[in-house]
Amino acid sequence: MPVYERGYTHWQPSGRRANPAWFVIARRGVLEPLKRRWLLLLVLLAWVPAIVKGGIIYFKLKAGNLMDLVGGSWTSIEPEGFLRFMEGQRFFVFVLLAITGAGLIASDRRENGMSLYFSRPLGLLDYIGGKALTIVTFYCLVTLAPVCVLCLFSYLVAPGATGADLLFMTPLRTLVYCLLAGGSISLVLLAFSSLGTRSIFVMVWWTILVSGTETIGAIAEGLGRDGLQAVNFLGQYHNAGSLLFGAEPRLGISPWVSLGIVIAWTGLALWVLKRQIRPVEVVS
Amino acid sequence: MKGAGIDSSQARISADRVGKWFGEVIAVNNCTLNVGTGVVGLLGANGAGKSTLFKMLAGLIEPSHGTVRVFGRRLRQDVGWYRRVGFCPESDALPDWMTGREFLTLMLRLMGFDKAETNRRVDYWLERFELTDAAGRRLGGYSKGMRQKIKLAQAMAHDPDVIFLDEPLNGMDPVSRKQSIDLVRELGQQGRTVLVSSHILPEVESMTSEIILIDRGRVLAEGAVAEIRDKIPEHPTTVALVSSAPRALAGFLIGRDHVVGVQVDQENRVVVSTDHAVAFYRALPGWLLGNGLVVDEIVTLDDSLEAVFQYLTER
Repeated sequence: MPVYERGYTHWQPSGRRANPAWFVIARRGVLEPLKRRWLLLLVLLAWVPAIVKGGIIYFKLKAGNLMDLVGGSWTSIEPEGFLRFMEGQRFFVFVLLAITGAGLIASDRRENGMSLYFSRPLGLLDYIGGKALTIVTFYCLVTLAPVCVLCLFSYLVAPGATGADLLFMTPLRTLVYCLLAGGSISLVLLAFSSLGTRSIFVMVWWTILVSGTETIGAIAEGLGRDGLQAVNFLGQYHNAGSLLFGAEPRLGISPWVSLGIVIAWTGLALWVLKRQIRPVEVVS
Repeated sequence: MKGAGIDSSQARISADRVGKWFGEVIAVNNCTLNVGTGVVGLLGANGAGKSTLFKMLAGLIEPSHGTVRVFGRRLRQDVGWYRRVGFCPESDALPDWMTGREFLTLMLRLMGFDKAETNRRVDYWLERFELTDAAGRRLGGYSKGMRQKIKLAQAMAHDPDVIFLDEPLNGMDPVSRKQSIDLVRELGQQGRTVLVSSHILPEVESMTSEIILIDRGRVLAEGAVAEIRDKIPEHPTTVALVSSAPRALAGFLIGRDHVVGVQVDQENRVVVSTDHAVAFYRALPGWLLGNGLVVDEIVTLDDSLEAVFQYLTER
């Protein structure tokens, strides 16, 4: 029997949606890559530093200051220690985001996605929001999630020490940082993705942006040219993050300058996305 | 109100003096058209501006000037109304890594359906297009015809009132083609608006007689094929009369009002050219009865879509 004869009623524009469009897009974006076993392994691998840090924190409590030899940021349960931990996760952030984020818009452009998505009740914000949330989720999976688990673990093995900070303030700071930094990074990656139709090219540009600028930043640091460190893409997020975590700046430039650079990157990414992803198809 | 060329107040799809430029190229020029219920073919040769106009009507390309409304609304400014619109793109590109079921599910979830309703509809449409067995296969492994069917399914699965189908039968085998044509006609009969874009005349002719003809970015004509044909006075209508006495009939018709040419063809039919088809059809029974002539069958040879298309576009 045809579907029309089954008594379906037409959907009215005011009708309630089961899930918002951005959520549907993000859910698909997150679940699809996780079907790949090697990606799951990569995510698990990204948790190894957290397990190591957890172990060091545990043994520090048992062995006292002896474990401080391992290094301050590894044993620290202060907010700055967790910012350093997230900084140390940048390799996993770089790889995981390249794999999961590079093709998010490029594939849609290649596979008719624009006309299929935008002939549905969703706007530009739903689309970009859903795609960005996909990247932010993976970003948080290797930064926010391990930090929160570490905070809880540290509280459990060192009760009463810095309870309020560990249980509330540090996770809150990390949450705000991850949402802002993750959001900004996701928009930049999406902007790259929107510029082409092949994921591999997006990955190349992403590699140049992350690794290339970090190398230039490191060379500049070695030469004592602090101003040049402003090109270090991911470094700006960690440097600006020191404002939120009350930590020492990581680069030779002011965290406020880094914040300005991050905002400029984000603005530029939004401009590119608005130009490239139009609800209407771009016909050449 | 049915078909194309209706009053704008009754139209489901209306375009008011829309145009589109791409740089210095004018793709669509000052088009005004109105489409009501039923199946309407948007017809034009490759490069005529058909696809651009089609996408503008579906809200996927912003016009350079003029306005397009569906249900009286500008879709891109009121995206909720896309719940009542289905769109099947021409391009064959699909997310090859998704299975047919995943693809349809995503498309329906984006329409706002909950999981249970989505599953029901996915099952139904996979079955309707005979894709149930291939539901778990990746789209990359689908044949061109199967890809076309899954594109049609996603355009129809949410029960839309207005459906845009861009070259919907491309790559389909004859059986699927027949099924899809029947489905489109069924949708039209149910009072839905189905706008079918195509450059293949028989394809459109098999679905509808209501057309919008576009050439060089302009709407040349809209309405029923026969009505459009009658509005082309410079090309006489050609009628074939099947009779047991063709030569007597031909001799009689020579010199009659509105008859501009008579000949007997190889099938022994009397082929008459008339400059006023309606007047000719009105006068013919009287002539036959009054002179003892018999005509077994009347066939209009050139009110086919192809003939109308040729006359209007001078191709």
